[in-house]
Amino acid sequence: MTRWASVVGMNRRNAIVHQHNDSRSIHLVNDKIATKELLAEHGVAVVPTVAVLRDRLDLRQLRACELPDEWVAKPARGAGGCGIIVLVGRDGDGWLDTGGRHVSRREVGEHLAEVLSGQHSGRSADEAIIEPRLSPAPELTELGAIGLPDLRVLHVGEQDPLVMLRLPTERSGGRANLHQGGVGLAIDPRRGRVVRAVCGRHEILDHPDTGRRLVGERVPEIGRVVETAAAAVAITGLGFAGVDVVIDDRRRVMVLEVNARPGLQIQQVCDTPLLSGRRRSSWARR
Amino acid sequence: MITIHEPTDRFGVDQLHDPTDGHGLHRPPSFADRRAAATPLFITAAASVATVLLHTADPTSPVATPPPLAVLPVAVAVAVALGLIVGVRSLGTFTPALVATAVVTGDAVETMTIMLGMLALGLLGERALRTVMLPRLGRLGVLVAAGCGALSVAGTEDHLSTASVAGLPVVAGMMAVERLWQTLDADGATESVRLVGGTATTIAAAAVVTSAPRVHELAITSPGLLAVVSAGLILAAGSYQGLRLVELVRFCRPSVAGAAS
Repeated sequence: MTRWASVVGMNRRNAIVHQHNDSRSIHLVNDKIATKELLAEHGVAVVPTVAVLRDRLDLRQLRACELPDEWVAKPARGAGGCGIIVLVGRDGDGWLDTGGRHVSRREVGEHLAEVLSGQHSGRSADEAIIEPRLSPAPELTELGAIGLPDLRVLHVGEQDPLVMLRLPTERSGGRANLHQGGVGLAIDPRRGRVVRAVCGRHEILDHPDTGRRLVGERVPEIGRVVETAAAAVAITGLGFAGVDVVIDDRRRVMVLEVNARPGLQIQQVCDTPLLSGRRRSSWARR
Repeated sequence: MITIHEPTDRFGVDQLHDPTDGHGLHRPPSFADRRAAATPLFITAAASVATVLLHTADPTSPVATPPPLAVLPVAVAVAVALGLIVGVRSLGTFTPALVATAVVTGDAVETMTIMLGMLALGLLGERALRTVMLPRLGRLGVLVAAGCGALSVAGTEDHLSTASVAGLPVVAGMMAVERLWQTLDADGATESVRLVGGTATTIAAAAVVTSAPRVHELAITSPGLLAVVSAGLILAAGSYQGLRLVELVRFCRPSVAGAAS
């Protein structure tokens, strides 16, 4: 039984959420707009916002020429990557998506209207955030990332954080979600070295698309990543949180979002149970 | 209660219950009086609750089918236990419980036909309705109207029993369709198929448990007691914080548990 005692399942995760996170903080981070504003007020770098659409009137007033060539729209209260649309360049009167498909202005409008009607966040209404599409740091592009990889930094109370890099792949359709085929890399939070790679249920050494060796590579700016995530956790008042951080091509470290109910896959990727008291020594052994 | 005041030898006994001061004048009730009056009320209330909970009907009465409201808590308990202890995921938390209730209290074949018909209608109709730019709520509304219309016609022509046309499978079917659309959008077809499988498993388990002879009998004779027992089981399952059975497999490979030892 002791083998399993430190592994956290969904039931215990929900109990930990209730123990460590007060409802005010949960409500705050469930709203990506409010979270970004609060973090920015406290000097924590966040992904810039191009526009916020609060209702259909805002959508009607939105002009295509005011948008950047490459941009991302997401629901303010979405979860699990639902409702995110990524457009990578202009194409005639519309844009191209990550798969190279033409997306007309009308289709974009329909999608944003769906976001506003709460269809992607399980609510009766929501808001849409439009952000510029960021390019990843060159070191991350070299790892074979398609799209923007992000770092998930998971904090449980005062324990050392767990850090995982999520690489989008062809199979995941450019999304970083692991359950959709993305690759999860366990990162040593002190040195930034990739210590383990997992794709689906299998431990791997090389990138499934490019064949490039992943284990042993280094992630840049890991110290700033961990510091930024810790600051975000402190500001939002959460005791148990998963902070998504990105490093762009100018090596800017920015918070993408904060999750009050983070997923548990990080345990598999890092090969470390969430409540392990020996996490520090576990990293030291590698 | 004394209404006639006579100086009799019963004075000493009856004075305790006499609301007058012995001279025909009313005195304010003392604490002891209020407590004496309140106790029977409390006992009456407790007795009423016990009567409701332990209400028993004649098991030989002509009502052979248990009322849906009596069966539903048991089906919910099964769904909760499967979700929290086994880790079975379904299209909506309580959708399988509603369908199982409809199966047990109505015609099983008709219920499943309606349910599968609604799912098929949802899957086939969504693409067509998307072309007219209807939001999800609108698409669902159209499907509910279409489903209810078809069932009303079938019910009028006596092709379906009244119990099945009551709407439970329609409501449950639409809840499942909405969740199916969400899952298809967010996680794709594979995950949706998994959820459909989980839903079918939960419906089957809940239907088997709720149609057990003892549960059937209790649902008819003591529905209140059955609800309390179900609530207790739900409470017990809800407070379970250990790993779900499917998580034992999930965390087994790659070996997360190995690092904890």
